[in-house]
Amino acid sequence: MGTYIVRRLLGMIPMLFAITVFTFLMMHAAPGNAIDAMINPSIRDIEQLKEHLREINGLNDPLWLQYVHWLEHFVVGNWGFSFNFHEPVIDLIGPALANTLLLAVVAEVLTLLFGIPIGLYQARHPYSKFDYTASTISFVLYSVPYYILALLLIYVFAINLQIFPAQGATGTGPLAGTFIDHLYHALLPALSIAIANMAVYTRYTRGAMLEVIRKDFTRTAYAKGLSEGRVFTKHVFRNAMIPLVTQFGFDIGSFAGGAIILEGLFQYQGMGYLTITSVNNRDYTVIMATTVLFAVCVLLGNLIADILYAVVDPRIRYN
Amino acid sequence: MTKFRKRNLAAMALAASLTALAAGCGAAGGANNTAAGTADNTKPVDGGTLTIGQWQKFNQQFIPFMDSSLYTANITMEAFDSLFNIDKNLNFVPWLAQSYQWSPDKKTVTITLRSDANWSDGQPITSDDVLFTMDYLASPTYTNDLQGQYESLVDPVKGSDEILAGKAKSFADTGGFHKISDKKFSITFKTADAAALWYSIATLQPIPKHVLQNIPMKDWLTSDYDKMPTVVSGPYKFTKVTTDSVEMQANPNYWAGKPHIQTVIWKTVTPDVAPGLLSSGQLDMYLNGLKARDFQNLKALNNVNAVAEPEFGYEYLGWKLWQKELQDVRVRQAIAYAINRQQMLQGIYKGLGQILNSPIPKGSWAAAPDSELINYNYDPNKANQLLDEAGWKKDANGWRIDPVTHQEAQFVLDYPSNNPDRASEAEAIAQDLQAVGLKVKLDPPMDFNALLKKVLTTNDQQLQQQMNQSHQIYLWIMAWGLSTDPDPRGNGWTYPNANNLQDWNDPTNEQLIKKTYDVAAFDQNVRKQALIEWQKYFNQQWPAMILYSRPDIVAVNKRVHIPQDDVLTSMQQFGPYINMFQWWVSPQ
Amino acid sequence: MAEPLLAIQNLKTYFISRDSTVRAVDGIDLEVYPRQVVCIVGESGCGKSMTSLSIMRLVPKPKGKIVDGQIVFQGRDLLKLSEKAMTDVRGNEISMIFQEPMTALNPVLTIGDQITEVLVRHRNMNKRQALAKAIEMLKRVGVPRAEQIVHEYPHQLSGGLRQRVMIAMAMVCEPKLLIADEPTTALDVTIQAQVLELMRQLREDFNTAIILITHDLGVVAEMADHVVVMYAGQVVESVNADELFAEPLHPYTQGLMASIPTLDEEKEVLYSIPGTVPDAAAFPEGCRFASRCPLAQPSCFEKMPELREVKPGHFVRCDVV
Ligand SMILES: Nc1ncnc2c1ncn2[C@@H]1O[C@H](COP(=O)(O)OP(=O)(O)OP(=O)(O)O)[C@@H](O)[C@H]1O
Ligand SMILES: [Mg+2]
Repeated sequence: MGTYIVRRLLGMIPMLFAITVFTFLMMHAAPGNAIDAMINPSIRDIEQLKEHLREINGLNDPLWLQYVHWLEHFVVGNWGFSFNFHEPVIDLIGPALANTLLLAVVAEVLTLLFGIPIGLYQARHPYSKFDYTASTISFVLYSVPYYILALLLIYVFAINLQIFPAQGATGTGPLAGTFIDHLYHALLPALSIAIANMAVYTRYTRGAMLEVIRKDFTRTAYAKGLSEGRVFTKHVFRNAMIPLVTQFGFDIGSFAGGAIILEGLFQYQGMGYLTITSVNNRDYTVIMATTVLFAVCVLLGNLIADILYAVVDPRIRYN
Repeated sequence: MTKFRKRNLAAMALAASLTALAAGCGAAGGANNTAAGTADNTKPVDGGTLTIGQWQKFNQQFIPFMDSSLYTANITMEAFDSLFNIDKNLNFVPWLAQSYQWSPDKKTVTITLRSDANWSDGQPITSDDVLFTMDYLASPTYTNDLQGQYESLVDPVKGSDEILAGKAKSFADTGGFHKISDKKFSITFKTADAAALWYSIATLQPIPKHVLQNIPMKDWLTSDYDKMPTVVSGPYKFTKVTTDSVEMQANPNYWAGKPHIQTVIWKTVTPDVAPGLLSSGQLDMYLNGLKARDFQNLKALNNVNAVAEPEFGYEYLGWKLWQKELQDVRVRQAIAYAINRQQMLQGIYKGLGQILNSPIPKGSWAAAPDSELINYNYDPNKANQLLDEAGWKKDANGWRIDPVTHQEAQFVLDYPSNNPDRASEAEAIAQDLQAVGLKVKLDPPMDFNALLKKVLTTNDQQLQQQMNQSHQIYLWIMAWGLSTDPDPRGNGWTYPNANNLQDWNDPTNEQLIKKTYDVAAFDQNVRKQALIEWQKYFNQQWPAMILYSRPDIVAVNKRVHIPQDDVLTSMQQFGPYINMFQWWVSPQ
Repeated sequence: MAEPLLAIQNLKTYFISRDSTVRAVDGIDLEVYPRQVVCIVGESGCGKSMTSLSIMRLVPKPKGKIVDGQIVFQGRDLLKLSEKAMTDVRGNEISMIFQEPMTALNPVLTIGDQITEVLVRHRNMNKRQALAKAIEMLKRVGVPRAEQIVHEYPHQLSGGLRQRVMIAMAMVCEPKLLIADEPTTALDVTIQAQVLELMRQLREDFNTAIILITHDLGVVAEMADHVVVMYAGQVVESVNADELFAEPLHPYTQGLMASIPTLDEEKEVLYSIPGTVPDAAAFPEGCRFASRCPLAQPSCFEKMPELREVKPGHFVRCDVV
């Protein structure tokens, strides 16, 4: 298992390298460079100023050298300075990533906590009233864009009932900035994500369970005299987990990206929000950092999925 | 992409209907239906909290002029007073500067600061603070290291070039600034220019020298003071700053009197959610970004006043005046008559906003009255007639022949991708032009920077030639937000000027503009007349198609009482114009 | 003879859906005596598996239903037992092994896990005792390295070994009756012989009766004490093995016999019965084999023949012979 993980980690290095090159080139080719973006065109001697900025930012070096410099700095955590926020990029990413991770964890916990048990119950009583109702609801929730879902939740819980904050990742008042405050602010956006994802998980769980129920080894388990509950928990569920793990890894991979639209809607200061603000302001140092981070997270998500895969499925572990 | 947009539209439609819902069962209240900006005879009450929503996040850069975001500036203006304030008609009026006096040669202005104006820590606000602030804006460190964007505020002052080039350190050494006493100083401009004071020093917000002089300017960006200024000059002090919100408390030492409202909280709120929060009273006020389609719903809320005023700026259709086809004024006017601006406002902005026939919006004291201008009302017949006169004959298909190339005229229209309304506008314009036989090709929307770059690079001689030969006539849609002073130079109507995107190079125009700031124009009436003359020429020449001012919607809870003189709109450029310290809120 | 261990009477197992009723098992009678090996033979789809799953009450839900009949096992009608009581029978008094050893074992659980859970369930053993017993059983069914193999996963074993594991799992509670549904079909010939030999051995050791389902008459010849021939959900011939091979009476049985490849002929020229099995959702009124029967009379198409005792102990469902 240990060597398996190490092998997978090493396998990520060329990918990472490719990602950095790709990101770098992409940013280089993007319309309007950072210097243009940050300068007020009515400034006097604009060309001279641009030249000065190009020089001090190393934009006059050959491309490969710019890349090498950037990579050198990036690896040691020197991710540059945000033109827009006037702060070191790493100081921006830190809190944004923390917010997004909190949101993601809360959302995933809610998703798994409700999604899987509902799917299990459906699979245990397929074609029952409960099954049909749950399937219909999850289909509806799945097809509604979660943007709309989020608006509805805001109107119901934040505006009419006023039990959750409508906007932001932190509040005002004495608790502002504490973990409780953060959690409180993460709940509503997390719920919007969770409801949509829950639909995915109930469907996956139900489908996977029903498929496994039809398998020969399930019949074997019954033939051994095991009770239905035991067959489900020990034999069926463990096998049905296998496809769910893939989805879970995918979720982890997409966490760091944050939910761009959702974070915007909730004014939730996470990675998605930071990215979109930076894209709007052409804040290239930030965009490059977030892009690389997203890619790393996707790779990590795959890695985690693979590891979990190996945990639940011995056939993979022993190959 | 289309899918995404559809979803978005659906979501917005929903948001709108939710607002309507909220309106239906909205909070009770609004006993006195005070419209925003109307007089209020009840006696002000001190205390309470005002929660203001903005739709974009501020940056934690609160030293004035450090950050170029409007949303940051809206907050800093409550903490830092400027030398001059603005009245209802956008005239500058003394503020921190109690009085000012021009020298006979009109190059030097002597300013007396209010004797009672102090920093919140009790120190007086002095001439030294003003000089310190001017030197900060002129310094190379400001432009290069802090990447500040307001060097233009001191640019017209004598010696600004030497300071920027590093040859001098202070305006005190260049003859640009002369300290007379702690509360009195004079500023000397490079030339006698009637606009210079107003587009530069007037909006200066002094910063406290006694606090900042000990920190190297390079490090201001990362200083604690920048993240949350402790010593301020304005009506409100910072008390808590988080990534999401700013909390301010009334400054008891404010020279104009302690503000009525005790606490002001600034939050970032999405426009989709703002109507709901306004109706539930969780938000007292929302600035910049409410949507026209929500306006009626907001008005229907019985606890909210909603005002839609034209923004102080305009949207326009630009073109390059070196393109031979457009050098004929009849063609430019024909375009003006061909485009149905009324219908565009109706369709896109629900009939809000205001059509302009000159580049100075009507809110300004300098705006030319309609009677002085050609009113380019939608008139396709007139457009056709003008095109016929200009020799743009129609071919068999009904398309007009470009008299320069003798081929079907081909217009190309570009617009930025940052706002879905731009696409609707582009489509409407293209349709209207096609209706008079002008063929228009719509390019896909472009990233704003890419568009700006494209528009700017066509200044290149070779490119000009290429474009003239490619038989394409280039059009673009952009918008300008304007500064308070109506100086035509500031908005790029002189030549050469980085903002003169249409390359309008016209000696008559230059002369008319000169008259708006020459020595005679120091007389406000003379200046006003000169500006009107210039607008008339502009209006006749039509070097660009000014479309309209879009609506700017502000919504305020009725429990907020705002004096009549304060107009609740176009916060954008007006800074301290809104005297929030005079507002008060009804106790809940 | 003694009391039968298992006596099935008029068993009917149908698949009922909105638009059709598939009569998979349609009135079966069958008896199994202690230590007896009863073979059920018949073409694919004739209802062999459904018969055995009916005995276990594991007919696929929700469509499959036992609609009529009795399954008396040691004096109790299994169809009247509660689900809970039935689980005490399964894997304990009656065990079953399936055709596909590849898929019949759970891929994510160790061999040990899968065997010991039977013992924990039925013998109240703790994990350690159960594991010792599992290893002993594995050794007994000829699994080498049993101590290691209990910690391994099914995919690490060969097909033959897996079927031995299945057998160990089925036999570990020393059941009275073992149902083996084509246990060797998926295995190659030498392994087949070994597994059959093992089953015979186990019968000797544990006095277990066996229902062996197969469509291989060679296997029948080798193993069976008694043979039941099924066709279209019904028993068409039931007799002891020796007599069946000596004198098959039902035309269908005769056809089956003709399809056995003779061992000395290299080329497999199979005689196959012409025609097709009638659709189980729409059986004809008369004899279900009539349409394929070389001896069919007009009356065969009209009246369903009874299963009758043409000779002592030799039952045939045919009015012509
Ligand atoms: N789940 C099911 N739904 C509907 N019909 C079924 C189902 N399972 C089996 N059947 C039908 O029941 C009949 C008997 O099937 P069974 O599996 O008992 O045949 P078999 O004799 O075991 O055949 P084989 O030799 O192929 O295993 C067949 O006609 C089959 O089509
Ligand atoms: Mg079968």
